[in-house]
Amino acid sequence: MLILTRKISESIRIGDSIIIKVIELDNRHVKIGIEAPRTISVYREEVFERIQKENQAASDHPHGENIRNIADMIRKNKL
Amino acid sequence: MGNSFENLVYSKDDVIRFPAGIPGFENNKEFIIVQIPEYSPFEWLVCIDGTKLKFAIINPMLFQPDYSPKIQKDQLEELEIEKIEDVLLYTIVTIRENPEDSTANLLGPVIINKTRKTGKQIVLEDSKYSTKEKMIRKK
Repeated sequence: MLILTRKISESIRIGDSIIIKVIELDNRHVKIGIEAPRTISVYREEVFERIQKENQAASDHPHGENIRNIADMIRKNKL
Repeated sequence: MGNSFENLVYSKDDVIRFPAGIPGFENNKEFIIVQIPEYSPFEWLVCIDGTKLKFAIINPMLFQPDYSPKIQKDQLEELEIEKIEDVLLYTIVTIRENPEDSTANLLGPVIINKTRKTGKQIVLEDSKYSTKEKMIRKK
């Protein structure tokens, strides 16, 4: 991993289209500004991993047949 | 779920493109939405690249009418949404062994521009919602 030292308000440029800027520092938190083209999604790593994992679980369908029951329950809940 | 998903008939106009794929499935970019009456109100987001990838999806308003995802404008830019009527909102469902424990991913709603036929799974920022929200509430 490349490690660089930056001061507040200094930036790092990645390629020609991504800029990462250190905005604010306090005790244990760093506030970071990110400029990137709209086609590049920016996520907090742990949130992205949670979404990935859930998508994996959602695509497996080991209990797929149960969907009929849930559909029934939701229809009844609404009535 | 039997053979409901084999030999699906669809036209080019039915295809919704997810330019970034779906997190965890970044290479799967083309999907169709399939409605099968016996599974209603669930629908299916079915990948058409031959991998058999599919997700059960549902309009979250059907089980959580006060769902209010805060979506940032630039998260939608690549979907080129011009008016709200263009938007379809879905959440991906995980079906559990005990049906009542099944959950919907309200942290990562799927937004589709039905006019442009593009879609994206958005990850909400600082959200009160989780990836595992129960759909059935005990009364």
